[in-house]
Amino acid sequence: MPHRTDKALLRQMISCLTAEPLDPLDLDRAVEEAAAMLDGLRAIDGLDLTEVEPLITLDMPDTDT
Amino acid sequence: MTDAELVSATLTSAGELVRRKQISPLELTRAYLDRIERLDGHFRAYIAVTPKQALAAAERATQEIARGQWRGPLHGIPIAYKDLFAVRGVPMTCGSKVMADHLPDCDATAVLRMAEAGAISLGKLNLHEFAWGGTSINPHYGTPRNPWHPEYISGGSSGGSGVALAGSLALGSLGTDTGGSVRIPSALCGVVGLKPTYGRVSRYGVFPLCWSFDNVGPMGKTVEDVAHQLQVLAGYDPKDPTSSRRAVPNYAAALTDDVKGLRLGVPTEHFFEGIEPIVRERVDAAIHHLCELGAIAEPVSLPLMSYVPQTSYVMMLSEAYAVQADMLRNRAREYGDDVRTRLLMGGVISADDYLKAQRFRRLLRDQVMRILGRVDALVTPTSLITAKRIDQPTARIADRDIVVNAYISRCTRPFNMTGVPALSVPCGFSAEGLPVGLQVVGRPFDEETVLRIAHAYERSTPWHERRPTVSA
Repeated sequence: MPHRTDKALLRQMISCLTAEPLDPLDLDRAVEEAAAMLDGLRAIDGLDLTEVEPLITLDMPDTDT
Repeated sequence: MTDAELVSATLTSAGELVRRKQISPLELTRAYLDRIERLDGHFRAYIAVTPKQALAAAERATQEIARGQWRGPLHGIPIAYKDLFAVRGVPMTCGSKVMADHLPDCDATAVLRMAEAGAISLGKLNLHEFAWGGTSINPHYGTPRNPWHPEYISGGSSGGSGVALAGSLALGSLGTDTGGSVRIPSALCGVVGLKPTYGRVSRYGVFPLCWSFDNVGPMGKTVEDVAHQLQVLAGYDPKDPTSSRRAVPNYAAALTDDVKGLRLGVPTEHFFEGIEPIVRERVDAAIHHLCELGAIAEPVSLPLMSYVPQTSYVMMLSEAYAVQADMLRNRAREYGDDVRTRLLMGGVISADDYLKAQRFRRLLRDQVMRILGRVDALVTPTSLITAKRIDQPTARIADRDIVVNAYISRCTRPFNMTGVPALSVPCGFSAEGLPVGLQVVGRPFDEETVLRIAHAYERSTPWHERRPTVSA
C-alpha cells in the first residue's frame, strides 16, 4: 500500500470527494496541504500510545479536581 | 444616550441604568441601531441587523421594566450573536454562501436563555466561514475590521463579535470556540471572552465545526459582563447530550478580587516559544502584577503541548469533514478557498490517524489535570502575536516565517482538546496600539476562579477603560 503522504494517492482520494471536478489549483493546494499535515502527524509516532485508550468523549468530571 | 456614553458603557453599567429606569431598553436599542447604521458599513461586524425584531423586543422590555418586572442584568440590553447560532426566522449563514438560504425554525438554547433573561438581539455577527479559521477573513460577507486599526484582522472565528464589542456596536455577544474562536478575537480586539468547561453551556442549535472541541462562549467589554452572560447560559439542557447536570454557581459573587495565595502555573514549554517580544513583555508584566496582588506564580512543565498543533488539527479536520461531507460533495465551488482546502484535507485522514490523536488527547488531558491538581490556574498568552494586517497572511516572528491563521491558535487549542475553562482578558497594547490578551485557564467547572483572577487583574489595571477611536 502506498504511504499515506504519497501525493499521487492523495490526489486520487481528494478528487473523489466532490461530485464535480475541482479546479486544478484548488486540487493542488489541497494535496500539498494534506501531505504536509499528514507528514506533521509523524511527530507523535515517537510517543508510546499502545496502552492508551482513545479519549473519544470528553466527559468532564462532575467533582472538583 | 450620547455617542460618548454608548462607547464608555458596559453591559453591567447599562444594565444598572436600565434597572434604575434612567434609560429605557427602547432608547438604548435605538442608540445602538443608529450607531450600527453609521459605522458598520465600514467595520463589517454584522452579517444581518434585525431592527424590527430588536425594537419589538425592546418595547416589550421597556413595558415590563416600567411595570416593575425587571428580570436581571441582561434585561433590555442590546447584544448580538455570531451567525452560527440559530435564531428562529432569521437567516443563519454560518458566514458561508453554502448556507445563505438557511432559515432556522427554532432558537439555539443559548439564544433562548438570553432572550428569557430579557436580552435584545440586534442581529447576527460576522465570522470566519463555518468558524473554520482564526482570522475572520471572509470572502462572502466582507472581513470584519479591527476597531483598533481597521487594516488589521479582528482574529477569529468570532471576529464580528470582537469588532462589535470593541467598536461599541453591541453590549454583549455570544461566540463559539473550537480552537480559540472566542479567546483569539477577544485578545486581538481588546475585550474579554470565555470558553467555558466543555458541557457547561448547551450547544443545541449551534452549527457544529468539531463536536469534540466546540463550545459556546460569552464575550463582553469586562469580566463582569462575561460573568452575567455565563450566569444565564450555564446549565443542563436535555437537547445537548454533552451538557452537564452540575449545579450552576453564582458567578458574579465570585468576583471578589481576592487572589491572595492562589497558585498560578506558568508553563515552561510551548506557550512562550516563538512569541512576539511585545506580547511576552505584556504577559510577563501581567503575571508580575497578579503576584503583586498576592497570587503565587510558579513554573509548570507541560511537555506534551508541543504535539497539540498536529493532533488537534487532525481531529478538527476529520470532524469538520464529517459534518460537511455532503455539502462539500455537491457545492465545493461555493466555499472560500481556505475552508474548501481544509474540508478536502479532512476527507483523507484515516481512522487510525484520527484515533491516534484521540489517544494522544488522553495523555494530554491527564498531564493537564495533574498540573491543575497542584495549581489553581494556568496563565499564558492568549495569542503569541498581536493582530496582523488583513492583507498579510504570513509574518516573520522570532526569525521564522509563520502562517498567521495557523499560528494564532497555538496557545488556545490545548484547552479545547482538554475541555477546561479558559478566558482572555486584555493586558496591554503594542506600540502600534494593538491589544494583547492574557489567558487564564482553570480546573473543570471552576469558571469562578478563572473569572476571579481575571477580574482582580482587570480592576487593578487601566486596559479595560481604553476604547478605540472609531469613525465612519
